[in-house]
Amino acid sequence: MKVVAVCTDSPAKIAEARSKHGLAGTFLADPRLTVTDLFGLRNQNTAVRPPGLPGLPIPTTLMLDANGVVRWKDQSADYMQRSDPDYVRAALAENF
Amino acid sequence: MLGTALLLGLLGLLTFAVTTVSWFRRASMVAIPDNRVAFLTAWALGGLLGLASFFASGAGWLSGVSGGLAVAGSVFLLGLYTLRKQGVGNPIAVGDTAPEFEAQDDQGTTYSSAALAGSPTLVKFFRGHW
Repeated sequence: MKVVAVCTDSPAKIAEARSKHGLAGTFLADPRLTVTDLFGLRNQNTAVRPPGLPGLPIPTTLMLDANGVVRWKDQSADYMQRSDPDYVRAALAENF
Repeated sequence: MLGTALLLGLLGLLTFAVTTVSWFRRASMVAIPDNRVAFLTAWALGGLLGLASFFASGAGWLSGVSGGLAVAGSVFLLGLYTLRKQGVGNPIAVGDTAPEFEAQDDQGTTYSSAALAGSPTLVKFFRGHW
């Protein structure tokens, strides 16, 4: 299974995080939220926005099958709660 | 012997500082509890202690600064917390086909969604260092 992570950090910022945390997989930079908007995942609450960014994504995990169809989705109403790794693994095992 | 005002100001600032450091430490470990009443109460307490320092005996510049920082800090963080709600909009749903897209990876190489075809993929959208 391929793993792709998308965030609004610049490529340089991601590279820094990659070396700092020893991250593997594909990381894509989306500072203009172009990809985020294509998936409809922009946080529509504009009351608080980080400086220099037009917005932020709603943290979301998607599982796509080989044809690109969304088979599972995890999205929290509260961005302080993230997909637990065990929860994601269980969903992986169930769907694939 | 510390004046009451200074005591309150410093206590308020200390309460605010300890609460804030604790909050961001937990945030960095993605371990903020579901029930945040303790944090919100502590911030409010820090702010109130700071506010009280303005009216207590022995008020001076030091109590003013510490009390002021406690009030400002608590108001700021409580305000941020109040505004935290996400607006979900119209997100992609189970059963939808993911859109085609292109983006740069962290090495500056252009990545196309065409590379995803043929095998299952986990796609994670996250807030980066925010």
